[in-house]
Amino acid sequence: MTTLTLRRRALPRVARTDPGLGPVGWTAIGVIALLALIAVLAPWLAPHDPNNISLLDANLGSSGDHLLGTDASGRDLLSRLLVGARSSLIGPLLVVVLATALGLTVAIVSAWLGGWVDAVVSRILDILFAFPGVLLAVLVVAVFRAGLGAAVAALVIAYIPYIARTVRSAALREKSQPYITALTIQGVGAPAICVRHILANLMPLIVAQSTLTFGYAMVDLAAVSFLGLGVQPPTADWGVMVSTGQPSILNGYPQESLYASALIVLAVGAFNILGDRFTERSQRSTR
Amino acid sequence: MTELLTVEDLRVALPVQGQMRTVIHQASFAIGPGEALGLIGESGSGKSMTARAVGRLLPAGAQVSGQIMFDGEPVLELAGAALRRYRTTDVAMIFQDPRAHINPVRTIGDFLTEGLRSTLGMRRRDADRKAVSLLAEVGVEDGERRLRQYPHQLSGGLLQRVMIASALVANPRLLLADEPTTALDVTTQSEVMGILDRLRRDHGVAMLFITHDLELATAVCDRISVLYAGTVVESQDAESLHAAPRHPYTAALLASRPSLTVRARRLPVIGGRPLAAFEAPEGCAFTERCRWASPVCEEGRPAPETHDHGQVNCHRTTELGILGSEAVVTEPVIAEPDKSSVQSRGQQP
Repeated sequence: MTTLTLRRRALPRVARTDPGLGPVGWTAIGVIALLALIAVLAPWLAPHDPNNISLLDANLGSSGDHLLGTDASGRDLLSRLLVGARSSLIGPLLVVVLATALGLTVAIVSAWLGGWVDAVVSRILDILFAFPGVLLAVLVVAVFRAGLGAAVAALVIAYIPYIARTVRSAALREKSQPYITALTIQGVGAPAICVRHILANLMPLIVAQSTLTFGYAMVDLAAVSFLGLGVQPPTADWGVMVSTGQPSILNGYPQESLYASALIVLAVGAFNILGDRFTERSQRSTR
Repeated sequence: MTELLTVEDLRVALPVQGQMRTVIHQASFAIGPGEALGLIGESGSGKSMTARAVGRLLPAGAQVSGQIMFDGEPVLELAGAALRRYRTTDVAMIFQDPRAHINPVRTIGDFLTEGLRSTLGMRRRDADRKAVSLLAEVGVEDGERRLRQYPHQLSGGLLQRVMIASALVANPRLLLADEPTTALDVTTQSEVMGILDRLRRDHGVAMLFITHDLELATAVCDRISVLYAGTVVESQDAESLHAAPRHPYTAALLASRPSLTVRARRLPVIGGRPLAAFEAPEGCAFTERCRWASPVCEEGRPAPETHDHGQVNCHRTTELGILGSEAVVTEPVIAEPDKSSVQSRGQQP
């Protein structure tokens, strides 16, 4: 008779439930941090005055003096790109902060009250959905004056329904959780429940949603600036630079549009990757 | 004796797929100060909804009629600040599943003191001290540390003790305990139940105790009301309900329990299935499962008949009196596994 010895295998290590952001996610954070740093330090980093026109130096290639060359008016492209990071990042930031703040307030109040308030709010949001952000921007610019403020205001209105719809459905789900009943019978008031409990539980979702929104807002703001409705030339802005560099492309000098587009793609890509990672994590945590 | 809580002809209907469905048909009971009333019934008989109605926690769109009086106040008419004060200081509720009823992203300390701080305006330090002393009372020794922990760091039994502490923290006069031990394992159950029972007596809090465990209810309650299809069919002192049931449903329930002393090959069961309140017929809801059913039982809902130890809603109670274990109508039908069908099922693609 043979004796079977069962060799006890080492138990496989339990997979970590939270793999974190991963190398790609951290790279995205690095890129975003770098861009933010550049935006803050731009005036000191820029080798030239970004608005200094020198027609003799128009459309130069890369050189020791102008690392990335110059645009059609002879302005240093590197300096314009560095300084342009400011309005290109501040704009979407304002859009995200304002749209998220307003959107989640509307969403949570509507979800909490329910009934006809919820019905009316939901219909208004549906109507807002019908307007593309750029169309709203045209409308707002027609009423006020073209500029970053008008573009931001238009996009805030355009983005509120997206944020509000997501947060509302999550808030409705959260509202039906048993612990809300337990708080109600403790006599905790509705505002306290909404802020301290529902909002706190929705934070992962809200962070993920606003990170993704940042990417969209950046593209939309660049588009609005490209159309000449947002940031006005000669202020350096990536969206504006894509637009003003257009004629030079036909003349064989694509660098202005190219570099500005590349930076937009880089920033938006980083924000989208990070937003996706946050979304995955928030979904895992709600499971 | 003036009652602390009286519920009279409570009727609750909830909207289900656009239609109003009666979940409580006619519930009447009363609880005196410091008294414990057990509310017994099968799943779906309306036990939890009754407790929720008392705590004003029914879902939106519920239609409620009848009367709930708490210390002379009409509970169903409370609103705004009065309702919040009633919920904070008068009633407290202990739920079945503590893990679902405590916000997972807030600490135990937040959960215990939120009501004290936000509604009663107590200072954080005072509220914390009170919470720690209550935690000690429920047998949680290192309260200071527990206050800083999150629900997922505590076991189910510990969490249910936290829940009991949270219910008592604002010195309520009535405790609504909705199957407080059902989600716990058996040893923890008796421990938690012991704590709940002792604390309730120490603090002199009245309790509406919801359970489907007759033995448990008899052990901890002064009186027991039996709920069937959304109707209270019998209310008696706990001891006498156990010894001398008068409603056929109560008698049948008592007869179908397992016993520690009597050996039984199979437990008797009550034939048929429990009815929900909305499917109950015009007459007595228990008619079709009742051993003593007669034509008179189909003539309208029986009115409560008062006797020495309580009251019973049965048309024939005067002739039947106290009922015995013969109340179970049907012998159990536990089907032997049908081998042929198992085989044929296996052959199916």
